[in-house]
Amino acid sequence: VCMNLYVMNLVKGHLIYYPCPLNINFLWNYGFLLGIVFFIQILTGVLLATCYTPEVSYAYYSIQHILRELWSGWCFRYLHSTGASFVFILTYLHILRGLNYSFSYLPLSWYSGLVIFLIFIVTAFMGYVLPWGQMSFWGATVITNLLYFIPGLINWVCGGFIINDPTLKRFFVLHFIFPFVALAIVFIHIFFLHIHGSTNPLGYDTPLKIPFYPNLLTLDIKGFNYVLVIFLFQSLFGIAPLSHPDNAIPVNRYQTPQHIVPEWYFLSFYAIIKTIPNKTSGLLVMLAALQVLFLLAEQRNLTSIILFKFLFGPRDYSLSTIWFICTFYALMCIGYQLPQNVYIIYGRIFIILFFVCILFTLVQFKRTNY
Amino acid sequence: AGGGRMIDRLRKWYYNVAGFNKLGLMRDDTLHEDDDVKEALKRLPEHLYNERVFRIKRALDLSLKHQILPKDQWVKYEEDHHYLEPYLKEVIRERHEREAWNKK
Repeated sequence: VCMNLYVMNLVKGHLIYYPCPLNINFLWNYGFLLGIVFFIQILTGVLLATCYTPEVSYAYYSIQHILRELWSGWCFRYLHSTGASFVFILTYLHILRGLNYSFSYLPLSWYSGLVIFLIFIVTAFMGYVLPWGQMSFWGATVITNLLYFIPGLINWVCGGFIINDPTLKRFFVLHFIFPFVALAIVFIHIFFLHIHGSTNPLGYDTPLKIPFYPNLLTLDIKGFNYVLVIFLFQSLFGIAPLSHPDNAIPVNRYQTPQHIVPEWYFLSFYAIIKTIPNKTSGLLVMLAALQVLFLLAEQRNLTSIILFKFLFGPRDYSLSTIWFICTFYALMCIGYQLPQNVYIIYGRIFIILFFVCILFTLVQFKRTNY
Repeated sequence: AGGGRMIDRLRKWYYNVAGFNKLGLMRDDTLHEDDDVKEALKRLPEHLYNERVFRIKRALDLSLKHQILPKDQWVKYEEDHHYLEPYLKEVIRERHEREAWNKK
């Protein structure tokens, strides 16, 4: 009885009577939507894992078996692959909202959120190897070869000199486990959020709050309806060509694809790696691009160094966030191109702009003027 | 003198672009509430504090409805008075003095 009461109090405190600012808009829906899509990913992933064989001779054909022979197997496979894209689009939008409005008020949520993002990146990378198509194998080869500068690291990660059966098996196991680790960190992320309370578009720490149920739950369900329609359209009809056709070809170790590209959500980071001539530097700059986001929540300490007085920081229109979106999108476009000189030059310019945008966000958040 | 007019025009343009005046807020309403600002707010006279609370509440209500005030009710750059500035300067001066004493 005591346990039931405790659980009911938890549910009431965090899901029913949780006080939310009354003016939060659709940008605050993405957390809820991420939870739903993440749950769909775990559900479909577990179901797919019951039918998948993580062995080099059988992996590709087990997926063909799921697609063709199993009842609704095609549906679960495409829900899972589309779900990955939706997890990333919603994560990027969620991070953008945080970048524009919330990170300075909720540093612990920001850090835990970035850790979840890193786990998503690793999980998605390993998940893409599992279908054992051409792009899976060669993409994994390119990325694992970036670790050449530490002797023995590639052998340790891949279980051999090349991507082979041990790599596939360990990637399958880790791809299964990491989402549950991410789920635990999601609870920590929400815990840190609920300690402080949600931010709002105006940024005020206001006592004007309304309970989560029914007001904001209905707002979230409205957002979920819109995303569900797009999600189902994309999964079942494949409107946008999100996956590369080369991944439908089984692995051929003697034939490198003409153009090795990751999925769209990794294109920006891939552009950073590609445009910097030295492999190690490219990897380090790419890791720095992720790490600099962690730096943002340290702004309360750094503003004593950066004494740039920036008056009237507008709350709805943030120049640095808009530059950041444009830079990220430009890098995405560059990441998709073959490495030609013009794209390499633009890529380098946009990498510099990327870091300038983030650091400018740091500067912009110094609001007190004296 | 020309440079000063130019800067003033730039300030006025940026004030209008920032957009908080369209929600009926003044500049000192938008200051991030760190410890100094919180202490300065405690020292505000009651009528100024009540006016601030009213403006913030109205802005939250407008934000909820995704609306802005009618143009004639926008706060003009010339009418925006920095009501918190003297109190905030005093608080910061006291903090610096306290830190200087603690160093000794």
